[in-house]
Order: sequence, then C-alpha cells, then structure tokens
Amino acid sequence: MGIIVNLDVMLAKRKMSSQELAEKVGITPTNLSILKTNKAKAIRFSTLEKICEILECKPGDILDYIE
Amino acid sequence: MNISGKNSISGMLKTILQICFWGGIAFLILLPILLFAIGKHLNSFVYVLYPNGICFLIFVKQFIELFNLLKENNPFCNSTVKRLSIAGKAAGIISIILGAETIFNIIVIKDEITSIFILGFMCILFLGVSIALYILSELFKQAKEYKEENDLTV
Repeated sequence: MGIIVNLDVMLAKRKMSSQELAEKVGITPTNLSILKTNKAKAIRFSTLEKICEILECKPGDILDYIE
Repeated sequence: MNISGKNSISGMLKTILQICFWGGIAFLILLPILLFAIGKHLNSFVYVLYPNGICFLIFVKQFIELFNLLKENNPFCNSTVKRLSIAGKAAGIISIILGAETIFNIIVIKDEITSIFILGFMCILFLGVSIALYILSELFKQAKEYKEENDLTV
C-alpha cells in the first residue's frame, strides 16, 4: 500500500471543509483533492507545514504508512 | 519562426503534410493507370513501391496527428509516445524493404551501380530516421513521466 493520506479524518475532527482548507493553505481545490484521494506522488514540505499549522496537528496525524 | 501559436507557420506546415498524405494516396492509386497510359508494365521496382508507400503514408499520418496534439498544447501524453513509436516502426519497415531491394538488385538483377547506390543510401537514411524517432519516443516517455510527477506534486 505504502504511504496514505488521512486528511479526511483530520478535517472531520476540526470540522473544516476541504474548500476552506484549500483556501487557507493556498492550494487549488483540485490539488487538495489529489492529495485526499491518495493520487499525489509528492508533497512539498511547505504545503505539509501549512496544513499542519492550520489543522493544528503533526505530519504523523495526516500521513500513515501501511504495508 | 514559430511552429505553433500566433504568427506561426502552422497553417503552411499543415497544408504541406496534408498534401504529402493525400498526394501520396492519389499517387499510389493512379500509378498503375499512369504506367498503363504510357505503355509500361508493372515491374519489381513498382511492386516494392507499394509497401514502401503505405508505410510512408502511415509515417506522415502520425505526424499530422502529432501536429494536432501540438496545437492542443498537450504534447506530453501517451498518444505522442505511441505515435512517435509507430512512425519509428514505419521508417524501420521502409528501411528493411529498401535494404532487401538493394541486396536483390545487387545479386539478382545486377542493376547499374547508380540505382544500387541510391537505394542503399535511402536504406541507411531511413534506418537513421527510425532510430532517431525511437530515441525521441523514449525521450517523450520520460518527459511525460516527469510532467506527471510534477503535476501530482501538491
């Protein structure tokens, strides 16, 4: 499986919509959708930093590794 | 000199490609009639012209399609790789046919040296084109992968 993104869980916990997060992070909703659906091949540290800052969490809360 | 976009020679290039394609088809269809009209028979040279001509038409058709892709501003996709590779294969087949004809001319017909030289030269020429197109298709494949990775970086 590899690395999976659990952004949905974190968004639900913070009661935030994807649209709102995309606006706050400064990425397009399309790109956020790519990230949420695990289609992304890479994530910039700056984007990850912003997401963590806005969702008040650690990268480990968003990213997970499944064998 | 721009190939696509404003003030470009795209219209002219497209016309030339279309003339090559449709003119080629017309030539292949009209050739027996023309030969018959001037009172000559079909010989081995003409028979070889047909598979070569069809391969060349396939070759030109790929470039017409590639040109359309270029106009759509989407050159790095699977279609480009496929079309370049098909064009490369077509050029390879032309080269093989010309090579076979050269050898046939040397051994069986014992034709004059000029035509053997011309055929041999064209064989090497198309071999070069074929290899170049294969390399280009591989290049586009890697470029497509890079682009995909870049597009999917958030």
